[in-house]
Amino acid sequence: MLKALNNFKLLSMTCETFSPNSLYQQSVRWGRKPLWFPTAKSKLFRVSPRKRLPKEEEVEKRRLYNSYRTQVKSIKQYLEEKYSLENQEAFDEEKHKMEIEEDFIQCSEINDKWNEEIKKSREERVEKELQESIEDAKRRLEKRLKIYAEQRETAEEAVRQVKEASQHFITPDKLDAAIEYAINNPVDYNFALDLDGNKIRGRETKPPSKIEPEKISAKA
Amino acid sequence: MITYELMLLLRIMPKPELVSTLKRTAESIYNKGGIIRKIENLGTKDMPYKTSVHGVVYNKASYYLMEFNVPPSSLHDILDEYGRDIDIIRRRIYKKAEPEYQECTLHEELQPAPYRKNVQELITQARKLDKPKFQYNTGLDYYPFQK
Repeated sequence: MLKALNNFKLLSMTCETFSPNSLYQQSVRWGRKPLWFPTAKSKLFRVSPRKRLPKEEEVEKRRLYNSYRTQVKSIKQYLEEKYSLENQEAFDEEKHKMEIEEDFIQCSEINDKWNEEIKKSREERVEKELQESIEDAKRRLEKRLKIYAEQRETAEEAVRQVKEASQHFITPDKLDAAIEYAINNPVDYNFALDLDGNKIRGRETKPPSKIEPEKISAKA
Repeated sequence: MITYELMLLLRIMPKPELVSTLKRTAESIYNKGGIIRKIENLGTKDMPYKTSVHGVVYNKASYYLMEFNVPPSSLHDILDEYGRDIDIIRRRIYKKAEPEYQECTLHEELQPAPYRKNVQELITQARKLDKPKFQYNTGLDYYPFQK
């Protein structure tokens, strides 16, 4: 086997292109005989020696088992005692009915008590919710009224502004004068800003230059 | 009541014709039951690009602005009417937007990049994506053993 392994190693070293890590290559072999093989002839009649526990462990084990068995036995006896027919009371129809009735009365009493408690808390809760919703409705109404008032205010403001502006509207009889005025007075909204924040109005206007342009004088 | 703004680009004309064109445009608004709030002349200037309408090529136009109220259903008719007017080069109607108030943040924007708030936010966002690094919790700012 070793020989084969060595051979394989050599082989794998020669073809390194296939396995980059040739040093760690191992062939997998069975550690024992395969599972499907029968017992070896030499081991066929071998009797393995009996396993012996140490003395202390044996004693302890026996003690544990004894106690376990005792416990199980007692439980078994107890259950037998409890459920044996001799110890069972005879089933009494009347008594059973009475018991059921009593039980029912008790249960219904408890139930009534609970219902009473729940009713109380429910009434409280409903009252509280009602008050809250009333308050909320009042608040909303107030808010809404406020919004309406504001809207009316803004609308009135707008109407007032338009009324004021309507004095300057160009009516057909004022049209001629307005056109005349517009033609004679051109408006220019363009402006430029200089570094000092001065506005220079007009599209064509030039900023006043601080440095006077040099005068070119003819040589004397 | 929606206020609309009408931007008109008129072809360059002598004044009497200009007046009559403006009157025409205004009257079509009145006919739809509208109100004119403002007429403004934004000057005569070169257009950003040449435009050909009604078989003519224009490079210059007189810019006019009108603010008006009109039932929204009649906007289409008004635009259609102006589209057939040969004195109008371009026309467009916008809803008038109220100017929004914005706080001036120029002094912040003028700061160098790492001091700007939005840049700092971006940096913190980017730090969140960093790979977690193991903390030794030794209370030292160096690794005490040989690595």
